[in-house]
Parts: sequence; structure tokens; C-alpha cells
Amino acid sequence: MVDSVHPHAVHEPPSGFISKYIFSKDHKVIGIQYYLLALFSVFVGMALSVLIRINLVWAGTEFSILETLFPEGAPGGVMTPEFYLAMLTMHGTMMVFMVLTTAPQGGFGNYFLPIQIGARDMAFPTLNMLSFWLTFVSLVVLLGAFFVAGGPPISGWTAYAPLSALGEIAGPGLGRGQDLWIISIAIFCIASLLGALNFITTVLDLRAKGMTLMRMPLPTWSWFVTAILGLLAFGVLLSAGVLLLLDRLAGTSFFIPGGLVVSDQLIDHKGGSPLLWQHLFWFFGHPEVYIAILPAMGVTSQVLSVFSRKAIFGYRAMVYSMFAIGILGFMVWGHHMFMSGMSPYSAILFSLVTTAIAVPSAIKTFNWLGTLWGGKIQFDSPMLFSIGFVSLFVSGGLGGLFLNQPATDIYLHDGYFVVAHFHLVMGVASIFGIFTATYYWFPKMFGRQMNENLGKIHFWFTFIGVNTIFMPMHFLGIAGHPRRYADLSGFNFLAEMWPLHLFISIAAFITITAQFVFLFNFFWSLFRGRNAAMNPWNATTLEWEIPSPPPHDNFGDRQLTVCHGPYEYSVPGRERDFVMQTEGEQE
Amino acid sequence: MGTLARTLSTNQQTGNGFPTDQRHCYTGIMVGLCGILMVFTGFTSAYLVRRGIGADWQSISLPSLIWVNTLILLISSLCLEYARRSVQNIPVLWRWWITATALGLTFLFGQGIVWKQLWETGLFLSSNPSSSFFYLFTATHGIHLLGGIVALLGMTLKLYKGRLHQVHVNVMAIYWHFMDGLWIFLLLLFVVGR
Repeated sequence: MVDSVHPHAVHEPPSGFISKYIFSKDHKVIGIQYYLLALFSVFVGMALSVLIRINLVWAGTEFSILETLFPEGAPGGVMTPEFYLAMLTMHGTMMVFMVLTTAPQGGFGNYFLPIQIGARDMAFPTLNMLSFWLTFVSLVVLLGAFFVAGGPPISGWTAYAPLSALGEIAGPGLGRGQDLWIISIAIFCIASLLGALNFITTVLDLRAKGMTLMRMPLPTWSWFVTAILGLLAFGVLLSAGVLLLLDRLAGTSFFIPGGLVVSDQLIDHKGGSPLLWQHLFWFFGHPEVYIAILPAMGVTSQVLSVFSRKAIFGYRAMVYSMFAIGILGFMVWGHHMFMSGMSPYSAILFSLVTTAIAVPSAIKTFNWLGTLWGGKIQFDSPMLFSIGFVSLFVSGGLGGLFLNQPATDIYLHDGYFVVAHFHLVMGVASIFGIFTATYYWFPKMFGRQMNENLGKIHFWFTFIGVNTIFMPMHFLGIAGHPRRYADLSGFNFLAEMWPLHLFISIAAFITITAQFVFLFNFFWSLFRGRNAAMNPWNATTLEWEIPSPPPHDNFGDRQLTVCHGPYEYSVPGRERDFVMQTEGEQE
Repeated sequence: MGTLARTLSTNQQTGNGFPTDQRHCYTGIMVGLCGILMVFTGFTSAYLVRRGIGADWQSISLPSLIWVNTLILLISSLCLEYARRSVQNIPVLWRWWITATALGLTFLFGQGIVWKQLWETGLFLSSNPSSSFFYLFTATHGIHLLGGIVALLGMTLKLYKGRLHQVHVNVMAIYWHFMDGLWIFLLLLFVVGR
């Protein structure tokens, strides 16, 4: 650790529009850029999910608007099965990469990590800027798949080989669309690696005097652990992407087995292994779940403590359990492949390690409940969403107990139970983390409060909505409903489940509509919201002792000395019920 | 040159030889190398798996030039190390620095000739999985080395203008030695693990 804020992280305040708002090196501007990118992406992803839900309930029904919008994908206003799969692929890719990976880490991490440790910026501001713009290019390339011949790929967000490796002979979207998908993900990997480098270095070397590791706020810990996961995971995905691209464009046979006949044509590849792709992909894919959710755990811990006016229960246990989740997360990728014909002995090992993740997860959950217990709870919007996060993490996580057993997974694997599980625990729980962070830090970022009533309306519609969407999907899965089927009409046993699908679709439409309440609140508050005080939540961490929004160099010339931990609330004998981290420092 | 000497000598040294106020540069390069290592770990695990399952695997015999290239890269690394240790003596630093850069370029040129020799024997990227991996590994290593050479050239310009900081020299040396070690590992993979 160093003695003072580093002069190297200081760059002159930008004067022109371009350097201030477009190619900015300021971590706060970059954070907002990431956030807006994710906000755009989440609405695109939701629009795609509307198409998916429409097709599941009304497959074969003519919607003339669909033909206008997608003449190739919905000729005569009826979606083709391939178009459905393309929407599925793009929905998953947009949500996992452009939303769940960017907003919590790139958005809030960029904005608040340097401030929470008392730094003036990230360790490498130029690299930080490059990281965002590479992510932006990655998004543009991904969206480009909508506009090339054949459209977006149909191989799912996991891009399983050999489907993804064969080219357009295997189906529409598997030509240029799949190429663009792989290139986009490769660029995203490079951007994420650069981001991880910056986050890790900043935490290790740029902490202010007195900001020991065990005085760091839990969101900072979560961004730090997430960055380590990203550093170790995205490199492997990048290598897998390069191999896949070579199979497609250079005639190599890494993932394509011999003797494949596709569309009555013998494929001129031999000896490759589709399972090799799965191993490489899931070595990234499972840590990716924690890349999405760890920052949500961090901000939840912060908000539960602030709005209970209590210290977080078991601070050190929270830190260690984050590391435990991160480390174990790298040893469980095989549980995505129980159906691949792996040795039962390997399956048992993967199953045991996966089950072990329940231990740190339970530690965190009980600590969150312990924090709430006996607290003076204030049910403001950030608090509602953080409690919602805990609820979703538990209900989604419990589904994992069924899926981590090979015997039950073999039945449940390719059905809606899995869809319900990962949407609840990875998707919606992480999104609740993003909402928690948005409502909590909005006053600091923009100097205005979000509307509280609209926040509560947004919460209740969303919380009830996501449960009504995804809870019934467990029942569909248990009843044997397969996933990834575009048209369910050909299967008699599925006909009885149609009313439940209709119910889920209606719930989805209502929940998505409720997100426009959030969107309105966000932009309305940006310009018309009540002016925010420097520390509207009476919180203790460093971001709450600088103006809202913070100036370019965060702390200016002030030499910070951190004297307290991040969660000193309701300390006996104090005039106020919170102790700022720098309280008592010698100026 | 006078400005340069002053620039290089103003760093306060700590016990481990690294200036305290630039520690983030050392952390940054180490973390960055971890990321690069993971890319090669992905390739290496794919190499080992693919070799184990494919009946179509045919080990390729490496052209002897590759050993000369390896020697050139090792000497280049040695030169950069001498440069790093000569920061107080600018003319000597300059000499070793240029030599290291030139040898790095020579290595890349030599790798190009190795590729050409393989093409002439009919071994291309898609000929068999072994050759696919050879081209993949050498190309990826070469791209990283090329990045290093661009950095070396950029720093040469800084050196000329007297704006080179000791931390740049140290970080560059760490990167270059890593690329050196990585190449030895890859060579062992081709020779022992083929």
C-alpha cells in the first residue's frame, strides 16, 4: 500500500466535448458510458424476449408487423423456427455479455471503485477508455449480425460446436452472422481483460493511507474478486473463440469431428471434438455466473447495512466467502456437461464441488439476514431491491441443488427447469443488484434523487413479475417440457402446458412494461429530480464525503487518511448513528 | 542525452529495486501477463486434448532454423537485461536497447522463414491438427512479440527524446523475458509433447 493518492492517476480536466464525454479517461464518465451501453442492451434484450414469448404462445399465428420488421425471419408474419433460435441466441448473448457483465463491473465498478478506496482515478486511465470503446465496438459487431445475409446465429449463447463451427451449410445465421458473433465475443474478451487488469492494479496499489484491505467496502471487494475471475476466465474464452473461428474460416478441425453429414453433404473435417469446445466454454461460462452476480452481492451487503443502520454481520466471512465462491467457481464447469457422456466418477467430483458452493453462499445469505435482524430497517427503493436480490438468490439458488446432482440433472437438463434456475439466480438476481446500485448511487452520480414512489412501484411490479414468470417454469421443467423448441404444437403432452405458457407470457409483458417506469424515473430524475445532498443515506464510505456529482479529481488536493471500517453504524456513545471512514483523521 | 540521464536517475529506489511511486506499473504488467498466460493455457489444454483424441494427429518435424531463432530470442532477452542494468550509463543502455530490438525483429523474420519452409514441404494450417497448432502457437506468440517490438520502438523514441523513465525499461524487460520463457515452453510442447 502507498502513502498517498498517486499523482500518476491524475490527468488534467478535459476541456472539449469529445475529450470530456466521448473519449474520456475519467473513470466516472467511463462508468456512465458502460451503464448507458448496458441500459441500451437490456432493452434490446427485453424486446427479443418479447418475440420469444410471443412465438412460444402463438407459434404459427400471423402478425403482419413481424413481416414488416423481419421480412426474412417472419415471412407472411409467421416466425420461422430458425428466426426463433436466432432471437434466443441474441437475447442470451446481449443479456449475459452486454448487460450482466458490463453494468455491475464496468459501470458501477468503474465509477465507484477508485472513489471507495480514496484514489483519483483508475491505475491506467487510457487503458480504461480503450476498454470501454472495445466493448462498444464489440456491441456494434454483435448487432451487425442482424444485418448480414442469413441474420444472427442460431447456435445459442453457448455457441455449441459443431453447429457453430460448420458455416452456413448448417443453417441460416451460421455463416456471416456466426462469424460476427465470434469476433464480437473475442473483442469483448480483450476489453474485459484490460478492464480486469485496471481493477486489480487499482485495488492493490492505489488505496489511500489507512485504507487497509479489511477496511475496504464490500462492493470494492466484490469488484476486485470479479476482476480476478474475469482475468482468469476471459483469456480462455478468447482462446476458444480463436479456435472456433479457425475451424470456420481456415479449415482446421479443432471442434469438428470426422464423418459429419450435413444437408446431405459430407463435411471435409476430421478428428475434432465438440466436447473440447464445451470444456473451454464452460471453464469460462461458470465463473461468468459469478462475474455477473458477485458485484450484486457486494452492493447488496452495502445497502443492507446502510438501510438497517447496522454493521454488516460477519464482514470478514463475507470477504472470504466471496473468494471461496470465486475459487470453487473454477472447479465446477463439468456440471454443465453431465449429459455429455463424461465418466460418472468425474461427474461425482464436479457434483461435490458444486454442492460445496452452497457453503459460502449460505454464509453470505445468513449474514445478510443477520444484518437485517434487529436493525432499524428503512424500506427505501435501494433496500427493497437488495432484499429482493437476497430472495431471488435463495429461490434461484435452491434450484441449483437439483441440477448439481447428475441423476436429477439428466432428466431436468434440457428443459425449462434449467431456464427457470439460471434466469432467477444469474439473470434476475444480478439485475436486482444493478437496480439496487442504481437507486443507491444515483444521487451521487447525478446530484439528484430518483423518485421514491416510482421506485417502489417499479420494485413491486418487477419482484412479483419475475417470480410469476420464472417460478412456473420450474413446473414446466419437472413436467418434462423441453427448452429451445420453437413450436410446441406438434407434441400432445405439451398442449396441456399451453395455459401456463400463456400465463408466463402475460406476466413477462407486464413486467417488461414496468421497466418503462424505471426508464422514465431515470431520465426524469436526471433533469427534474430533487437535488441530492452530499450524503443522503447517512452512509460511511468515502464516496459520501465528496460533492454529488463528484469533481473531476474526486478528492482534489486532500490527502485522505482512513481511520475506520466501512460499516460503523449505531456505534454507542456517538452523536450520530454512523462514523465516516475518515472521521478523526489529522488534517 | 543530458536530459535523458537526469530522467533516468531521478527515481528513488526501494529495497526490491523498483521505484515506489510507479509500483502500479509492475503490478499492471504482472496482472497483464496472467491474462496472456490464460490465453495460452486455453490453447495448451486444447492441444493436449486434441492430441489425445485424434487418430489424424501427425507430428511435424520442426525446421532446424527454429533453434537458431530460439537462440536469437534468448540473446535478445539477455541484451534487454543488460540494457535494464545500464540505466545509469545512457550510451551503453542505448546500445543494448537497439540490439535487443533488432534481434527481436530478426526472430520474427526467422519465424516467417520457418513458416515458408513448412509451406514448401506442404504443411499448411489445415493440413493436420499438429500443424494447425504449430501455426496457431507461433502466430499468437509472434503477435505478442510484435506488440513488444512496437513498444520497444516507441520507447526508443522516448529514449531519443530523453523522456524514458526507468519504470518503462523495467516493465519492458519483464514482458520480454516472459515472451522468452513462453517461447521455450511452446518449443518444449512441440518437441516433448508432440
